[in-house]
Amino acid sequence: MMQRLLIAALCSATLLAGCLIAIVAGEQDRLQRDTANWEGKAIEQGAMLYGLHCRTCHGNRGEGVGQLGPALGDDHFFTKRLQEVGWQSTLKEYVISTTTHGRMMGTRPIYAGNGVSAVMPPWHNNYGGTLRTDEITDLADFVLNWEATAIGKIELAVLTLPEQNPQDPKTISRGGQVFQQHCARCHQVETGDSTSLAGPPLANIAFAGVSRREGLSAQEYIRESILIPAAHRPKGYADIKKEQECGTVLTESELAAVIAYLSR
Amino acid sequence: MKRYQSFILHIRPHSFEPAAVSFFNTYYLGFFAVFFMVLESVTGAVLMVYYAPTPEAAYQSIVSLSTEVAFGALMRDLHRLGGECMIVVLLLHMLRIFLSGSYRGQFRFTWVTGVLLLVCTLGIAFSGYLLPWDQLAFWAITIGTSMVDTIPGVGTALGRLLRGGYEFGQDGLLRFYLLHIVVLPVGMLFLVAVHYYRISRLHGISLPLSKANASADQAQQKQPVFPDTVLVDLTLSMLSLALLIVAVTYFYDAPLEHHADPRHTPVNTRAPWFFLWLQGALKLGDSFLMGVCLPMLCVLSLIALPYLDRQPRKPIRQRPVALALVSCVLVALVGLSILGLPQFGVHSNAVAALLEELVPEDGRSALHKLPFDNLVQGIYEIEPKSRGQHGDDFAQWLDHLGQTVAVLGERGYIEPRCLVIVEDWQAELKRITIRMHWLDAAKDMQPTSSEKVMYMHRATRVPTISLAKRNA
Repeated sequence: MMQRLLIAALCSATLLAGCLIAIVAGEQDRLQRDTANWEGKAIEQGAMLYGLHCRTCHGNRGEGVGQLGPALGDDHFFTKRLQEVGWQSTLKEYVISTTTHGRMMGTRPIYAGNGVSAVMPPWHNNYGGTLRTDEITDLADFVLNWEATAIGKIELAVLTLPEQNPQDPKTISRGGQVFQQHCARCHQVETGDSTSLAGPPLANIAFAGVSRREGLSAQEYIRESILIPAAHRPKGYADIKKEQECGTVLTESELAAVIAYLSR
Repeated sequence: MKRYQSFILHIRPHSFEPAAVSFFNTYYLGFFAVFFMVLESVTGAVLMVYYAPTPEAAYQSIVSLSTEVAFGALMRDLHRLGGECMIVVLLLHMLRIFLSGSYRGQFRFTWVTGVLLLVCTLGIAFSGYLLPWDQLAFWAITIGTSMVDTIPGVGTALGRLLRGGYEFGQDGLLRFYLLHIVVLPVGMLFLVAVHYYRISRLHGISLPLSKANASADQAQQKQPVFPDTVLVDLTLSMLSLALLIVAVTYFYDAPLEHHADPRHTPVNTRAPWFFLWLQGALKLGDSFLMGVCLPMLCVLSLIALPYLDRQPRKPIRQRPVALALVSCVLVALVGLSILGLPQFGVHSNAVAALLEELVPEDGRSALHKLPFDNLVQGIYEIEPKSRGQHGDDFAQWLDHLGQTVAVLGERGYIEPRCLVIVEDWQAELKRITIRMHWLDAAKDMQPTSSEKVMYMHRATRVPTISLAKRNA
């Protein structure tokens, strides 16, 4: 009896030891695999946040937007920016610090075009922003991941979008979505009272637009109004405040879709 | 040697009757309960070294267990799986005692301490569930504790005391952490002491009825605790530990979703499986009745059971009422748990449900299983039918999507179309847009669309473990 018990105990001890040895042997690989996995997740999460919060000023793919926000995905940002501002630490720390605290004054003497200076706001929720520390770190991971494909270094083959047919229901429905996301805060597309909104009503803008600007079709008029809001001001909206000026930034395909939607 | 012997023997009896150490009389369920308690204490102590109970640091400290701490993932997986196993073992233990009818006489109060131990264990499992501070934890526990608010009069105050405010934050997390590592474990230790004292010194191990009467005759063939029982315990512990290590290495990953976000409620919130029956019950009625009264009633009736049932002990075949009762309870628990699944929740519309399935919030989609290089940059228009195409994995995925879109057409969506756009976004990073188009019959055939965007990095392949689980 005693002997059988001892043998069983020895066998199970050997089995357990075998398991432990296997774990110890594989642990280094496991750590590397998990680390890579979490770094990838951070970049994915950062890409999502960038699309939500940053792309309107820094460009859909980090190319920068006019005088609003500088490019974050070009070679200059990765090779010259730190010397330019005299930053002593790493580029990642620079991105985290700038995103966290924002800027008191822009480091580039430019204006957003409507007289308002474009300055990076603080994004960390400790300073009135909306992001947590881990989200800002994820964002920095995403921005730094542009280095390998930085503009001016090598070019990613960009997906060329097919010409969008403004009659296609798919274009129109996507335009409706873009409108909801970017325009509906100030404009109303349904008929009815819209005096509480900051922007003029856009119901039947396709018909109204034809007569407003000579030489422009309705589509061209809408396009101009989105790109240069000050080009023509409808009655009653002549003295609109500068901070209420339309500041929407759209990609070319979003612009085409929303024009198709408004002139359907 | 003698000194160690006397240490062990001052806790355990000197010897056991043969019936008490026969495996099929007790299935060693009490032993396994203690085994898991020890396992949880040891792995928990290791995890405490790395865990920081603040909303800023908690999630990151769990991530660093996977990425920085050697054997960190092993410890966390063992702790999580061990806890779940412990609940299973306790339920089986209780079921055995109930079926053998040995909660009578001297065993009455032992049964009561057993019920309290189960309550304590569930409390520890519940409070521990919050600690990773991910979306899964945050919302399951937010819903769980919101039941307290429904108690008339004191509910709101009690809920605030528990959460440290109207919603979970720094205070609530610390409170749950302390419940998990101090308050409940200390209570449990005390209860185990009473429970085990009564078994070892007062009335012995509860045995099946036939064996309980026979055991007195064989008093002379007792098995000594040292070394026999100790060796058996040691062997079983080592075997179980080896089995658990194999399980967590190949079949089990403790889940960790995105960081908790109080501003963003996930589409589906799912309670841990051992509280799924409660989630199901909540769908049936008032949250005070179902969420507070029902569990209280369960615990109270379990405690009262030995004091209500005072008939002499009979084999289970002669106790039809007890047998019917236990079957009813088991069926009810399973039925309610099934009802608790998200499938029986509030239904979002079919398109939203499909998009959620294709681009789930925890970021682990079916696309993550495909080889990264199969996702070639391009625009893929999906026709609502199967093309029967057998190309690479991605082509098959698109084909399957076509079938799913066709189902949408049968559900009243007019001319459903789907567009999948794959873009090379950065080095090793792709952006995938899935956009659904259809005509809205309710709105004058207005073209309508809905889309979801997902980013995918080469390194975030679904690990093979979860892959096997999902395929199963």
